[in-house]
Amino acid sequence: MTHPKPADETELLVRLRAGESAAFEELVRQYHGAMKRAAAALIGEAQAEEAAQEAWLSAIRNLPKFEGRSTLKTWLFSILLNEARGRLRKAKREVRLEDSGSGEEGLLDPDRFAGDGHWAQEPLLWHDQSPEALLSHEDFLRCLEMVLDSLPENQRSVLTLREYQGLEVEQICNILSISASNIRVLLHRARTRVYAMVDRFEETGTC
Amino acid sequence: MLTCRELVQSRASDYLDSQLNWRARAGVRFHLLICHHCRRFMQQLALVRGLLADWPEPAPGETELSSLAERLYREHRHRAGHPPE
Repeated sequence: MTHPKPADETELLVRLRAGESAAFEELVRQYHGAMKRAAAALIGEAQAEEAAQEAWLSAIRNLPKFEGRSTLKTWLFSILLNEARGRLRKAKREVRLEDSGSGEEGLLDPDRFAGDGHWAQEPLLWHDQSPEALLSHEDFLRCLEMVLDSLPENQRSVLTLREYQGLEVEQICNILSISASNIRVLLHRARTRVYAMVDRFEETGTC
Repeated sequence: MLTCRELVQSRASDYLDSQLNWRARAGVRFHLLICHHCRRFMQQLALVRGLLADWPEPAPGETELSSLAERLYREHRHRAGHPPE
């Protein structure tokens, strides 16, 4: 399925293909910050810059083949994701996107619930009541990077594309070639892992 | 009736993302009406959902942006068979 594209994106593509130098400047200004942040979420800060640059070069090489079936943003992030997967493979972290994890992995600790399925203890009341409040702690930013890094790659990819890039489940299906139901499972498990980290941070100030 | 464990472990994200059918959604809503603990959990999970969206993007410097744009422009010209400027 195609997604409606903003008119200025179509115009930008025409200018890029025509080789207008200002169009490249515009493209980079619009998306490079987001590409770097997504790369950091996918493979860690250390390789983020290099991976983003490689993804950009790959995008430019493939520009004539871009058929506009998705938005430019979705297309760019699918290229970045391929770059990140290649790097992870090289680092011997095998990619198995269809594997959504098994058993209780990625779910909340079962001890939090009593035998009758109710909470065994009241969930902790958090001091920080908004994402902004949490993100204002420097220690928390490090914890967030660490927990993202610790996620199985499939969960991290889905979480990044959905929460950070704001892509719809259907768009993620197209990029990762996995089913919507699998994406929902991966997303929930990833969120639960982040939730457990935040809960620990709220309780102890560390992760 | 839906238990806290079922809501937390298998319905919470789908509820937040409006991915449940009307019957499952009504079940979650009813549970949240009567369960203070799950209401708190849901609010916290919604906060977690907003974390990545609000994670500030790095602001690349002017030089970084210009040199990247220049590099991409040259690559495009090269691919298109134009001589370097």
